[in-house]
Formats: sequence, structure tokens, C-alpha cells
Amino acid sequence: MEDAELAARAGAGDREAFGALVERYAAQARRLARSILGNAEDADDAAQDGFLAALRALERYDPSRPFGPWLLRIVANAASDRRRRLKVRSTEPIPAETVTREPGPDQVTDRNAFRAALTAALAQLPTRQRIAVVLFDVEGYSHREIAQVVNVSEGTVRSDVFHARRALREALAGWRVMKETS
Amino acid sequence: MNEFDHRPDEVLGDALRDALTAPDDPGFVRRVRDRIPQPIVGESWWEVLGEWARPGVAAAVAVLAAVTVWLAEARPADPTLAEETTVTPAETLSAGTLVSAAALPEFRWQLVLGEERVNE
Repeated sequence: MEDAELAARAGAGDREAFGALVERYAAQARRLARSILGNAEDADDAAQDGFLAALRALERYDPSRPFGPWLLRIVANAASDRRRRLKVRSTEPIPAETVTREPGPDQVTDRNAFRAALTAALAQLPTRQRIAVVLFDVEGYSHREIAQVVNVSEGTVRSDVFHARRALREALAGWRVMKETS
Repeated sequence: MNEFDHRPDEVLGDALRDALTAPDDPGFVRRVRDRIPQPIVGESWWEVLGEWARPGVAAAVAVLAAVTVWLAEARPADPTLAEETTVTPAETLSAGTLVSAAALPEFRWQLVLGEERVNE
């Protein structure tokens, strides 16, 4: 069943239809929220808030447009709001989860260390660049769809993806050099 | 593939997916499903209006600030002139006079008086 049909059924009170949409977009929403928040638990809370906010706002969804960007915009907003609240509560910057919680490089596999380096590099990017690169390179959304999610022009999204890729590749190249020389 | 490429970068995409994917999607879905209200309720008008409250207040403050600046700039620059235009209590109509007057006061006449005083 198409997203728009599920959304229409959910809007008419069909809980199962909305459940199907949650199932369909759970992984994307969790990854997007995690790219914004860095922390898996906070990301899941934000993704959940986003889904429930989307449910309440279903009347405003335009079924002629794709459901994914509409939903992910709400999830991104929920994650950004949570990030702001966390920043207000804590004067210290939010650390990238993998950098602080995982064991040091001596004790982990290469894969984990690589993952930690990538997550740390991602955490250094401005939020909009993170969203752009994750939605483009991970989730396969078009520049136009991402522009709807972050509410900027397509050109800005292209620029964000470009800068994010460059920063991530530089960070990972540095990590590889460090690894080879150690 | 370079940064200018307008196709998704599969290598970077796979790496990011691996780094960002949390385990137990079914558990997360269950958790959200459990929180879906029964029956499903949409946004009330108050919620929709509430979303507009903040930009509305910001716009009102901006308009107020603009009016304040405009009024400040519209004031006479010469303080002595401003002092002279002040009407003394004896020359003004009292509230009682205004209320008890059968006809409306001649505001044009009052203004002319003011002008004459200014020009004295």
C-alpha cells in the first residue's frame, strides 16, 4: 500500500495504518535523529516524538507530495528541539556518543574504530550538513526532497552535501593515515 | 566519485549507515505503536494557533519598535519649541466641560490658538 493511502487511513483513525508507516520509516527516522543528536537513546526519543507529532499533524499532510520528506522534516525538528533543550540543560557541548562511550582504539576492532571516527567527524559538521549528507548518501533522497526537509533551496542542499562529504573524507583520510602509522 | 558528484556516494553512505543504525527496529516500532492514542486525535485549533503564537508576538514587538522609533523621530527637534507648544491647564478643556458640553468643542479653534501661541 502506498504511503499516501496509509496516511489517509491513519488520518481517518486507523492505528494499524499509522503503525505500518512507523515500521516503514523507523530506520530512516532513527538514523536521521541520531545524526543530529549523536546519542542513540535521545535519538530514539526524538524519533518517537517526531512520529507522534506527525500523527497529530496528518490533516496537514498533502497526499500529492511524498510522505518521507514530510515525515523526516518533523523528525528533524523534533531532534533539533531536543538537542537545543539538552544544550540548555548542560553547558558542555554534546559529545559524539561513539567517541565517549566506546573503548579506546587499542581495545576495539578496526570496524568499531572506523565507526567511531566517522561518527566523531559527523558530529563536527553543522546540523544541516549532517541532515543533507545522511539523507542523500544513506537514504537516497534527492536534493529536491532534502530541500523540503530542511526548508532551503536545492542549491543550498547541493552545497551542504559537498561540504559535508569533503569534511568527512578528510577526517577519515586523517584517521587512516594515523592508523597506518601507529 | 568526488564531492561534486550528484549521485549518492555508496561507500560513504554504507559507512554512515553502519555508524548510525541502531539495533532493534522492531522494538522501537512497538514502543511507538504503544503510544499511538486511541482514538487517534488530530491537532486542535489551539495547538495550531499555539504554533503561530511565537512569530505573532515577534511581529507585534517589531511593529511596536518601529512605531516607537517613528514617533521618536517625529518629535520636534527644538526643545524650546516643544516647551512653548505645551498648553497650560488653564487653557485646556476640563473633563467636566467636555462631558457637560451640549455641543462638541471647537477643536479647530483650539488648534489655531495653539498655533498663535507658537507664533508669538
